[in-house]
Amino acid sequence: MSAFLTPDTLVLLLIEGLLLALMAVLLPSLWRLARRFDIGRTTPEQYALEKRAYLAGTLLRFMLWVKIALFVYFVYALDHLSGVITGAMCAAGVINAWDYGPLLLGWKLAGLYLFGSWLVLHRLDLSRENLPFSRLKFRLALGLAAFMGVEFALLIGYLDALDPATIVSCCGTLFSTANVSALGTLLAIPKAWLLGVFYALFALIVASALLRRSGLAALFSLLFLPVALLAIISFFSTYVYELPTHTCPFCLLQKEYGYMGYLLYFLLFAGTFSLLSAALAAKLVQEKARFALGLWLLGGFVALATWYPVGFYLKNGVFL
Amino acid sequence: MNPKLLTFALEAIGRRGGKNAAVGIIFALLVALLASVLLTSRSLQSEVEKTLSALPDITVQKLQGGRQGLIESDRVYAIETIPGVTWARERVWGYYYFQNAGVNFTLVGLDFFLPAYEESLNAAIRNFDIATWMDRDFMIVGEGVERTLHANYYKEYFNFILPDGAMKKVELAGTFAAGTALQSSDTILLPVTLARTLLNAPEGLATDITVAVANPEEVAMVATKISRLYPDTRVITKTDLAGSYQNLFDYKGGLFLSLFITALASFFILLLDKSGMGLAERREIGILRALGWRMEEVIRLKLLESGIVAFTAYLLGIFIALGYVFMLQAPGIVALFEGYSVLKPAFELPVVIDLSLLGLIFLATVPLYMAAVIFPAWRAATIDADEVMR
Repeated sequence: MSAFLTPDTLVLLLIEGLLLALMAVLLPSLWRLARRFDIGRTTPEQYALEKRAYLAGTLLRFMLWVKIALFVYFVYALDHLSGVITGAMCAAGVINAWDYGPLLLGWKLAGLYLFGSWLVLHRLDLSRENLPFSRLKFRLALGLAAFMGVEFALLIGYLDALDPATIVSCCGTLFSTANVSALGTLLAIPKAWLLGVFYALFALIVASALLRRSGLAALFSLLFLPVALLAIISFFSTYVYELPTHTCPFCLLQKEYGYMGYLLYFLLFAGTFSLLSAALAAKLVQEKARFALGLWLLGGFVALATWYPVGFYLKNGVFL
Repeated sequence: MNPKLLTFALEAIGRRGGKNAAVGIIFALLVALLASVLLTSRSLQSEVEKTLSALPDITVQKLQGGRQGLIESDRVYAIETIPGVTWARERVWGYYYFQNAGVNFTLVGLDFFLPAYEESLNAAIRNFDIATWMDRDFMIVGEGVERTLHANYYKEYFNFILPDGAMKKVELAGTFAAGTALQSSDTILLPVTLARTLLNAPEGLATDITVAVANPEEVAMVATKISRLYPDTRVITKTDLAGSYQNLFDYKGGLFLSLFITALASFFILLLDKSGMGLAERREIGILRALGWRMEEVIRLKLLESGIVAFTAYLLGIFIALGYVFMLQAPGIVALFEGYSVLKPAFELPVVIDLSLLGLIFLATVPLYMAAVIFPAWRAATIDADEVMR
């Protein structure tokens, strides 16, 4: 039986398809806007294009919100499918059921950052009288359309490859250091090193944000994201599960752990995105960067992640 | 969110109450239809899961020519020596077709002096006074069976027809109420020797063997060992069953959803087509534009209006569905999911409200609605003030 007919995947396909269709409808307008939009002209064509620009902005904002909701739902659906796919005990096994499954997940995540950045650009553009970034943003929107097309193809390929009858691996084998893959090698990095880098990067982000060095803040945030994910997999998750051998970034999303993974990942992704977009905005319009929100979110993430080992130590008097 | 804009939007909805109500009610009914099916599915699923959790960890069936046959009872002893196994027991059970009513009963043979393999069965016979029935042929029946027997004028006994055509009179000793209605409503409990006679299962052979394993982590390993020990068996674990049930419910729900999407799509094409604005609405937007509203703000107003209508209709639809499924017991929809047993047990759908399910229904309906109104909203916002006010 194929995985296409479960309600979860149907809804995913329906909404992704809808967004793609909207994008397709928008594409001719975007093409013209990217080539012909010029705020200096006062022709009827320019007037019509300005109207079109509002449509594009509204639609893309709508898409972003739907994409955020859909990303959460996608992760939930993966977790739910682990009940059907043989051998999978959490989303880790399900996403790895296809070789490009992890790519799909990464692609979707990257998509959120890209859509978000586009909207930041869009807001900056509208906030200036002369709409300085309009041509740029419509060119970038064309890129977003291509990005979405690839994402949809990946999703179809993934759902097609999902087969309840084939046995997949459980997170216990996927995230072990014995795993002969790049990830296995990365997980073999000593935890002390990893944690050192994790906290050092966070300190650097805070310092560069307070000193208003937006370029550095953005760079460190970008570096922080993979380091934080690695640290969750190899260190913090074990304290959530209270089991030194259980290293998995997906079981966090399950009921047994109070769905805390959703909060943890929200803080991480929203925090890094907020910092990146603040830095981007500061660069583009030469303003003082607004880092406060990002710092709070990221600080919340670090505090929440740190709480688990500390709490474990307070309760048991030892570290795992 | 600007509260004044919200008030303004609410007033605007009120000004065009009839049109908004019509669209909202159709949308609410569509949401209600989808939600009823999915809520029923989830509710039945939870009932099945309850049954599953009462099942033994491992069931061993013997295969003969690819079909299930009777299994040797003494295999129990070999299985019990596998480390990790708490106990292994033979089961004697099967179906009996009662032609008058056209239903199947599930006959379960029990040794009334030993604890049964299933806790719910123990509960069923706990209050039963075995001493008075010792040497008689008796049975204890589920509620559904009792109803069927009474309807056919069997008040105190029932005549089973044996495989060789002879009659076997069995007295009705009592009834039991089951914890899970799907499972036990059609069940008849009998002494094991009587069950062997009725099911034509000779001494030394059993229907299947159930195995309890103390540590759930070891179930898969024990199952592998059993199938190595007896290659002619099919070894089914509880997890396998749970997976295949989830699959089945997902499949039926999905099948419905895919048909439903077609209906939804046609509604939205209608919506897209009919949501052209009347003269009054165009005038209103023209005035707003003349007062200095930006296009962006008009779009926001229009989307807010539609959003309020969609969300209200969504909530209304969910409430209609909750009432239909849990108060009216989902007439018509339950039939979509059951139907493997001819004896439909009368049971109450347990109230299961799952946030993820509400999220799924939301995602399946509201974004489509919003997508359908973006274009009209934009068209409205880009009206030139002078054009409509002239």
